[in-house]
Amino acid sequence: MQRLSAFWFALVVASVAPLEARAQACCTSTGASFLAVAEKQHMALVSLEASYERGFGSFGADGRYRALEQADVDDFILALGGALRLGSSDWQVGVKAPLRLQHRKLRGMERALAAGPGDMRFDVRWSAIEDPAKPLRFDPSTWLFGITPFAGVLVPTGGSPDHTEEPTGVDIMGDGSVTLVAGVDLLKALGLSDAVDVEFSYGYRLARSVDATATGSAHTFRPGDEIQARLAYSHRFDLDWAVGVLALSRFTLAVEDEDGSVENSATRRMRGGLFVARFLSYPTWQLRFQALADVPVTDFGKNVPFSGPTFTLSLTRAFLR
Amino acid sequence: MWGLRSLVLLPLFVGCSAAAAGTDTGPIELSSEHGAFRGVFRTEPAPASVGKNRILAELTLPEGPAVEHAELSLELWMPAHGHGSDIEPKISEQGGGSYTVDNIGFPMPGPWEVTIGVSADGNEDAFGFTLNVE
Repeated sequence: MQRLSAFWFALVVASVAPLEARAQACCTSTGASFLAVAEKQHMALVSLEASYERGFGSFGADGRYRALEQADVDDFILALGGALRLGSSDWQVGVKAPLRLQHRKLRGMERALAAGPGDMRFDVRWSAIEDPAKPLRFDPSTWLFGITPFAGVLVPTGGSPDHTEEPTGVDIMGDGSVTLVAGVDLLKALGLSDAVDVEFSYGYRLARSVDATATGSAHTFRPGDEIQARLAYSHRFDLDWAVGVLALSRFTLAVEDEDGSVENSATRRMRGGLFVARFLSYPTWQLRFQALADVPVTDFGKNVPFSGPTFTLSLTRAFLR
Repeated sequence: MWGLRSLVLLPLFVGCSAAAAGTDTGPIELSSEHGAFRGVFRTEPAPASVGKNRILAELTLPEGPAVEHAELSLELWMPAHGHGSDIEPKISEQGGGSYTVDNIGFPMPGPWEVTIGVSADGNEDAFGFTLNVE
């Protein structure tokens, strides 16, 4: 029975865990991206992900939602990611490298298309406590949950907002700033078929110098630190199929420049979605579809230039321990 | 590069603190930073929106006479995201203190700081206001 529980637990966790939201460039349309994370039965994981994002509206500094008019904003993202366990330890490293193809058609401007790398992300994770994989009972030993602290860095390998050559900003592929991230992932299997995953992270974004004046002089700009939270719930029907829902929230603090904090520059974004995962060949190949969207209602976002849905199809190859 | 280098007619910078908040649709009336000029500014379309826009400016001296034959410059800056706009504006004088700034590009919605530099009759000053681009 214990072996069967562990088997199902691995499946349940696999369906809910690799869902980490990543930093988003201000000027890309919706920017959702996820990392592959090796679970305890994995030695390594390689993931190929294709996403399509469409900007339908925006949230102003006052939190008001406005539909975009006469503006076509589309992003296609192909991302290669992977995770590798360090020996037989509880430590793993991960990487994600996106390639972006972006399209913009804005009122009165020429249609524009650009392609290039996005920002790369590197991670290290430590499975400090494993979920006991026991269905919740009045027994306190079943109340434990998995705890995985992690740290990462987002490297601005994508074109930054202040270095674009395009009037439409179509060539903005990244955030422009190095972001140092620390967080923790909390995972709890509620039974043999259901799991909840909660993740919190804090991103410290380093200051950078941008040309901000007509004289071309440098201007120090520090984007606001970001706080992210994610809640995901997954249910596994059988060996092959799992479904789930998730909610993401991302807040960034106010931008800072030489004069201090920039008024009305903090951002807020809340998104929700669902996913379906299917093993093509258990336990190595898994296909996953995910739809994620902003809530197009005032105050569900703030200072989000482009908001809309993201559809992601990912194929993952796992290598077992 | 969105460093505003393409928009320079007059090397003048007005800090963010000089910017006045604009209304979404109505004209923006204000004095220049050092009081050398007064201006009324309108956008087309109103409110300003993503894509190409135009600003119509009417400039006067504080005492009332129109400011003619002035040199204007335009700077755009999105403070929340740390960038400007990389499209070349076209500035033309209409006469009687009226000027048109065409080809203003806002690649994304949100608050944009607009700085319009004015040089006329040996005086240099600048207007700063914020447009909430939709």
